[in-house]
Amino acid sequence: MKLMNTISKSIALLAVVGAMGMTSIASAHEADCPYCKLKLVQNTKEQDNEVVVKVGNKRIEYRCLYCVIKDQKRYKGDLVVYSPSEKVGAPVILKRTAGKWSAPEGAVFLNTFKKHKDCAALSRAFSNKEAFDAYIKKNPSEGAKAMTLDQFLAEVAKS
Amino acid sequence: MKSTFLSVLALAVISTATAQDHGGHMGGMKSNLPTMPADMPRWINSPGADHLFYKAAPYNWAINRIPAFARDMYGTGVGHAMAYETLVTGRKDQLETRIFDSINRVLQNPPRNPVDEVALSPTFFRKYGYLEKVFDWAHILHFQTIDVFTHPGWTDAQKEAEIEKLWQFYSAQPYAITGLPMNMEYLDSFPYSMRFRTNYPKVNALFWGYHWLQTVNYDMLFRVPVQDQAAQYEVLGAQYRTTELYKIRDFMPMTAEMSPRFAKRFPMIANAFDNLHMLHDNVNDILASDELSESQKRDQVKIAIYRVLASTHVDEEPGSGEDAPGTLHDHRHAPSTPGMGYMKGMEDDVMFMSGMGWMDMSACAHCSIPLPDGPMWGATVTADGWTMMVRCLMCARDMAAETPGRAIIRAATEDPSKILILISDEEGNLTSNIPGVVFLEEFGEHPECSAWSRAFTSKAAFEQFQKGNPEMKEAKPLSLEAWVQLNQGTPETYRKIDKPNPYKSDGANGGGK
Amino acid sequence: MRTRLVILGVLVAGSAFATDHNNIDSGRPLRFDDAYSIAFRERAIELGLKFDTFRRSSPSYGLKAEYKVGFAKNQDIGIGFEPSYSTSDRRGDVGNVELSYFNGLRREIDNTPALAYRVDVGLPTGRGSRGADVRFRGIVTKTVGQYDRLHLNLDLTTSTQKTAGERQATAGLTVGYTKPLGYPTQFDRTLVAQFGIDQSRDTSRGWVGNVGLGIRQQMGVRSVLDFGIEADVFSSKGRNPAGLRFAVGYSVGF
Repeated sequence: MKLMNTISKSIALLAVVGAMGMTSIASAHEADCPYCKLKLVQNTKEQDNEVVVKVGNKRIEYRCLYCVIKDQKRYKGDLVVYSPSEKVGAPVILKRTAGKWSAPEGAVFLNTFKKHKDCAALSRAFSNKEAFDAYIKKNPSEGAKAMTLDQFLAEVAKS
Repeated sequence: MKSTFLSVLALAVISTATAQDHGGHMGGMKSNLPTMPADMPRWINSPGADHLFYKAAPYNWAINRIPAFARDMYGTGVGHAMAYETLVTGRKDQLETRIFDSINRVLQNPPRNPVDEVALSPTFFRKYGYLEKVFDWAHILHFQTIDVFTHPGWTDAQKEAEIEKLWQFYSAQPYAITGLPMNMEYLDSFPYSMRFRTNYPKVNALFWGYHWLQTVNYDMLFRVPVQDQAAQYEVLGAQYRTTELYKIRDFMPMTAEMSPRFAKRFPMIANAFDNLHMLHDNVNDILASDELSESQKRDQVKIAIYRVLASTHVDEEPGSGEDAPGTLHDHRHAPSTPGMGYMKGMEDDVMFMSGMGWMDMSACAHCSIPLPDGPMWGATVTADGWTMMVRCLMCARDMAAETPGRAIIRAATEDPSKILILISDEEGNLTSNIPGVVFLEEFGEHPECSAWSRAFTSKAAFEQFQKGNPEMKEAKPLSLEAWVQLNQGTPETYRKIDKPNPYKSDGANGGGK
Repeated sequence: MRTRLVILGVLVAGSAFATDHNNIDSGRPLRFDDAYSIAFRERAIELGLKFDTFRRSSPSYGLKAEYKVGFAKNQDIGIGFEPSYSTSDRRGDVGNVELSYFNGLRREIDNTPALAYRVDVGLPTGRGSRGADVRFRGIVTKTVGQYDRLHLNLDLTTSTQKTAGERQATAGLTVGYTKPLGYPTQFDRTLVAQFGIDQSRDTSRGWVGNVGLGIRQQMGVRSVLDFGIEADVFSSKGRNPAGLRFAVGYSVGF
């Protein structure tokens, strides 16, 4: 039996390694969103999608900016949110310091999703209005309007 | 009438079981029901109450040293009893409303003392008294093993020797459940299977929620000094009461999932608990199947008991059954996990874990590098309701850091008798049970991570390690405060196993980590 | 002789999980049993105090101690002691020693009740006691409604030594009632009540009726505190019944 187990284990490892070869290398943070419980949307070559919240020594990933704002009450300390923007590798960095939110000057926000399956694409930050317009042109969304951080926070709060 | 007919039809169609391996088929719906084996043990028809007392020992009721844990455990006695009584007294329409509220109220305000389940469900036990004997005896094993671990003054070796004795004590009775791994897919494949969780998901969530508690606690206690146990329960108890009781799961929590270290050391007990919990599920399903007559229900409960009794599997060995996969005598287990029977869709060490997705039980949950064989171990991480084995402290820390909520890291140190317990708050701040703990972390290749990421009980122990490992002579001991600030990010070696959830017919992705 | 009868009626305990509030032993606090022995391998100690105001001006106090062992499935044996103190005599008595055997024949199954019997032997170790008393008790337990239970105890008692003015054998019947209190939020208390008639050993008296009420309260995982009050309510012959009997006890299993 021990021999069989060893053999079958080896086969399983081979199968896993084989499967690895067929799939793209995924990261350990390929988990579910802590808020909406849907799968996180991975970054692509063309667009970042992972929203990362840094709180204390934790680094938690969310599916979209809306989910972060909705789930923020669980954290008592200051937050830094790395929100994917229009540019790969250049997130819009939001901060919650002593309970007050701040964003880089000129940053605007989109929040038009109806169902959470669309939240990663339609609840996002942009470094400026032009980038927002370009994104909407490419990804039309009914009722899309560029919001300031305060407007975005108010909209999430009332939803 | 129509709905009854459709139910019967559905049952007949979904039946994938060959039922008992004892033949005897009847027509129609009945043909799929397991049939009464010829060698049903005689005690099952004995009219005596046959109450058994637990093993007399100094550790009995040591669970009360962790009062919140003890009370939560005592509360678990109420759930099934209330539900069973409800079902056998024809009040099933109240299960998801009034009875759910009653059970939930008790679980949230648990009693100070154990609850007599028979007194709570007298009608049920008048009908199914033989079941009480099996449940009671297994519940006693549950409590006594916990008592041993929570008993102060004994060494780990003494405790483990006593657990072995308890297992012998338990196994000596005819009501003992087998410690062999059983094929869970088979045990959940009868015409009535899944009926309860489908029809009564809220109450079933409570049941599986406290089965989570009953299984997650063992790694909280196993080889953990008694003074370090209660602090962990603050985390686990909160998780239990706020989340686990209400979680809709794909399958019941398995002991080796929740307490992998304990299950590795005592696979027979882990298996017995899983088999017990599956017996509970079988009974739930049988009672919730309206198309079964009273007589059929009684027969099926007896047969369900028979399946998991130790006496049914005499002279069989763990790991056997490759020649009869998916049957009553399939005792295969994952090679790395002797304390768990085969699960649906399982391929050797790769299994689907509710909330985590597909996992390779033989590999580090964080970096996917195989876990070392033998007694040496790195750490486990308990967070968000799951417990995972990892190879090293770094993987443990980073995995806890990327998981929302509080977390518990249990890790080996250079001293086999001293386990490191790190408890993380919501923001990743760690507290340690070893005040002078220092860490080694000389980041290198992940396949060797267990060599360069370690914990030591003191700086002196760290330096001693350096003497024996000259390649680490330049390493600086890291304090807890300095070490927790580190984060090596996502290991490039991590591989996600991307397969559909075997418990979902819509091909939903496994999700999870 | 009456003293000895009271001892047999009250002192000898037995049956059921002695240390679970739902399981009823005679004497803890009332005089009836349910039809369940203590568990196999269980040991239990029951301690009790009774306070008898039968003679209001000179009440008597009694201590009761019993040790029981579940020596086989559904069977237990016990030994009991009941030293007492009488205020009228201003002296104590070591009391009789009681030996008991309990056998649970069957549990309650469907609509058939649980059945048990017990045999008690009272040894004449107390002051003035003569001969041994032997009591046979048949016990029937049946659930009524959802949680309440009725317990029928039928007693036949005989003595190895009969003196003038005494009956050789006596009979008694007790109907006990138990009701768990607090369901479905609390699970640690049971109400107990009884109505019984006992044939007096004294030939100048006939049948004596009694009622009782009590509470069994779970205190710890294996310990129960009980409190009860009993009174004789009628007598078919002889002097009128009077007075109350109080009992408080503590049981622990290990």
